[in-house]
Amino acid sequence: MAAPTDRKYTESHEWCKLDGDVAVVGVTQFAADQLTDITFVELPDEGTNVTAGEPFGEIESVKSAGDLYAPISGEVIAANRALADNPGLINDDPFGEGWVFKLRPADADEMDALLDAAAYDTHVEAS
Amino acid sequence: MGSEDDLLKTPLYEAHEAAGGRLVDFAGWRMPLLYTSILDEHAATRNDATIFDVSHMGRLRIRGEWAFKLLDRACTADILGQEDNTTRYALLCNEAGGVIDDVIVMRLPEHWLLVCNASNRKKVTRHLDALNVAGGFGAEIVDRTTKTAMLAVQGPNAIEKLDTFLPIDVPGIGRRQVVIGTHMLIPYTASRTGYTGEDGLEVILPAAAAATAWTFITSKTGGVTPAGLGARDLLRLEAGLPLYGHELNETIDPITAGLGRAVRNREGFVGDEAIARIRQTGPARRLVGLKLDTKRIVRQGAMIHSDGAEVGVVTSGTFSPSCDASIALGYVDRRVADDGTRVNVLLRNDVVVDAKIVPKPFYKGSAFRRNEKTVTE
Repeated sequence: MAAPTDRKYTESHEWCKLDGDVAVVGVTQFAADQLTDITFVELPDEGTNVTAGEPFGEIESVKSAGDLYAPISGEVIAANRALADNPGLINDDPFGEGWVFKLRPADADEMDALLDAAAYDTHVEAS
Repeated sequence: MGSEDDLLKTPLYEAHEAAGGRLVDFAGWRMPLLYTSILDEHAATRNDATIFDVSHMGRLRIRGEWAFKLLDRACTADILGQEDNTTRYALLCNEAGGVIDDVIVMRLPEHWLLVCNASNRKKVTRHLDALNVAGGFGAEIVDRTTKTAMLAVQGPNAIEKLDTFLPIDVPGIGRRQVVIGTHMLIPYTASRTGYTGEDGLEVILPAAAAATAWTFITSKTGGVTPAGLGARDLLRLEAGLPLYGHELNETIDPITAGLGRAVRNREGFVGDEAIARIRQTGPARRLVGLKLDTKRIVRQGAMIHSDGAEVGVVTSGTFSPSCDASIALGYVDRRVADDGTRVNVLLRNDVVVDAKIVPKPFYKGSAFRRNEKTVTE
């Protein structure tokens, strides 16, 4: 399944979608499938800052656990509280209802350093 | 790590692919981790009935006039007292009382069958061969693993569903009993055993008949859905059952592991003296169940603390849907091993969570509920 073209991606399987002056971040279908049933997502706190390429939280599944990495830098303005009760939303709808957090980008140019959908698909196939 | 070509495939390999199974490497075999999702397959096992391919497990057939003596020497269970058509859970130990493997021993009219962990098959065979020679028992030990398949059908509805499409009186098979028979020229061995905490059967049949049997059981109306190794591990952990390589290894004795019920008092098995000493003094550590105050998962190797001191280590952990809580098994210092004791567990990245020691099993499935009176056996 090809990654949606309306957003960009990291090699660590996060996605980042710019909507005006707000960016939305989540994990990809590929990551969700590899993890299998997700049981916990550590969300970043609103008002804190995240740095591109640095871990901002953790994701756990029945099968394994891993860090989540910020695609770009900025201030966290919202975290998806629905994931606290229903972390499986990420498995069901990773690109939509399963979004993880929103931020105000410190530098929109950082989006250029991310992979586009085609490059991400290639990256996934190679792994 | 070997290439995909070096891995063994069970007779159900094509069936797993056809059912959408995600195949992974496990103990030298290509096995299905899941088909749809671990949680869905877990739920289907707890609420209905599912089928697992467990053909990767070792199946050794042992025959001969003194086969029973070989097994009585090798196994901690009371083999001399074991009747025809029954199964026993047993440990094979080394001289220090450390566990070489945990196995199921089946006594049948014409032979014995020992079912062991896939990862220990070669080791167990070598161990039995050595004891056979040393004791002069002259038993014939034949590895039947690749010639056979083994299917486990588990769940509260497993017995009823199997009864509608198998030619035998399935409910009539008593708990931990085993029967052999033939259906349409296919010989089978069926035991009322399992590794999920649910009722059900485990059926051994010739490799050539496995795919047909699988298709038959899964495609009938009201049939049984496939479940993979991911669900299997979740289910066994909720049932408080040990897994070799986690709760058991060659440095751990059965008493420390809480498996004294599988160790007879009568001597004559490898490790008997060491185990008797541990029984007498009491083990320094005990295997306990932990319920955590978090939905986060603790995993093997996580340290357990009490009052700032390290008191133990986690051997298995997961999030339990049946308990709606994170659970774990681990070894702790006997002074803090009582039910109700509160401890701390160190998750990854130095997160500390509170936990409580609780009795096992964490969840009582239909196997437990079915036959309360045999629970203490």
